[in-house]
Amino acid sequence: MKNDQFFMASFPAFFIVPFIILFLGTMLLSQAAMADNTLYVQSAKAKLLASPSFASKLLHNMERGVALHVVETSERWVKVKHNDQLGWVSKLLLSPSPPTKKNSILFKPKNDVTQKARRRASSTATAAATRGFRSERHSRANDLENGDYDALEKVESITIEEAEAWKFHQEGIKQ
Amino acid sequence: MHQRQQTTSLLYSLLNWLLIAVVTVVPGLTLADSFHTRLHQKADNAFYTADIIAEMQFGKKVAARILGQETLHENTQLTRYINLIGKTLVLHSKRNELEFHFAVLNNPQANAYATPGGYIFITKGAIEAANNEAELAAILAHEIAHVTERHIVNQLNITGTEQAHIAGLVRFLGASGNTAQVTLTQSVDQAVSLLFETGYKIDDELEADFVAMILLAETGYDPLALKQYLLRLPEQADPMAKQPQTHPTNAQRFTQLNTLIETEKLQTLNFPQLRERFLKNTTLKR
Repeated sequence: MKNDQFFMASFPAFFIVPFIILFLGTMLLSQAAMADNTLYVQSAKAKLLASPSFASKLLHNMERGVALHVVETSERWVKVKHNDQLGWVSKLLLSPSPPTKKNSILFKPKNDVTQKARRRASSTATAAATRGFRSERHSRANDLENGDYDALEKVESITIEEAEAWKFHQEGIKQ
Repeated sequence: MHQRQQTTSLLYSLLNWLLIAVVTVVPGLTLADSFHTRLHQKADNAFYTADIIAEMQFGKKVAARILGQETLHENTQLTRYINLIGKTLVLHSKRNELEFHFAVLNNPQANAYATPGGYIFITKGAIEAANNEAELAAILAHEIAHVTERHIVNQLNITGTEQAHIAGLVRFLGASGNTAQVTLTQSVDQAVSLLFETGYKIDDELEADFVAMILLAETGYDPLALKQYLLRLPEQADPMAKQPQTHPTNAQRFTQLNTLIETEKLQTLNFPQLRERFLKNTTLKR
């Protein structure tokens, strides 16, 4: 009887204790996740500032790809640790994955059929319009659809080297 | 009997602890596993490369279309100047993997367009309406923001993988079938229509303003230049104002810009506007 009373008295604990442990476990898990909370600089340079304001003191200019340990986040700013230095970075410049490298494959894709598509587009689109695939609005756009690839080549021919852009930046903004 | 009760109690106790173990450890393992899976997926650059290639190829087609409707203003000094401002902004943006191109269009109406992949067009009219380099940078920053935030890419679901509601764009580009080509052409049509007629979604426009202000401040230009430019530009000159149902009015844009200026204390920055360099490089102003 005494044991029955003990069992009955401790019965709610059978339900409460798992939830307490579950709560503590979740807390520990989220702390573990926080410990792994690394963000990477995506821009060529990002300012590490003394406080969450563009008017605050510049501590360091961080390079692209630098991994930062997140200490705290606000709506637009992230407090990070970089080489044992604490500072704030604009949230817009950070991402959980390392930045995608500029890759020559990206700029000359093997399956670029732009020219092929250009030759085909007109007849294909006309056929589609006949079959009712295209709305009136699209048909209107289609009248002007043959893109000007010669002009596009001219646009693409103007390239600015990164060093040149930094020089331009320094000359004008001088920060 | 007493011993039997003790055994039963012990059995209950053991079952209880087993329940605790199952309830706590199993979800924990599952959570940890999914956490690492997400990290692994995010670090997989190959996954993103397909999307970026699709975006660039799609953007190239849209850019060619824009150039089919508008003519280039071929002034080497001005085009180079626009590219220098643009490249400087891009270096401070989050999408350095793209090769941005900037061009001037021979159109007296103030306007600017951005295609996925980083083709930015600004009209002669938009340059003429600017007063200094910071304002010019503000227009370009707004357009760069449409690209960095992937507004068209997200709206039209342009992807290099098979996750799109329509099949992956890479497959279209590699495909020879008429259906695939029609679908691609339709997507390009939609992008052109969005740029020239319907405009971006209200939230996308407001986000582009927000990102542009931050980008200007991060680069070192006076971020207030965006508001100054919009204040000077008559609202009727803005083609977006023709769709008040789906696009922000200048009043809405100013409300957001003022909030950002106030909360970030942007008015205290005293960053340059560079009027002299602007006048030197924009012969249009003379």
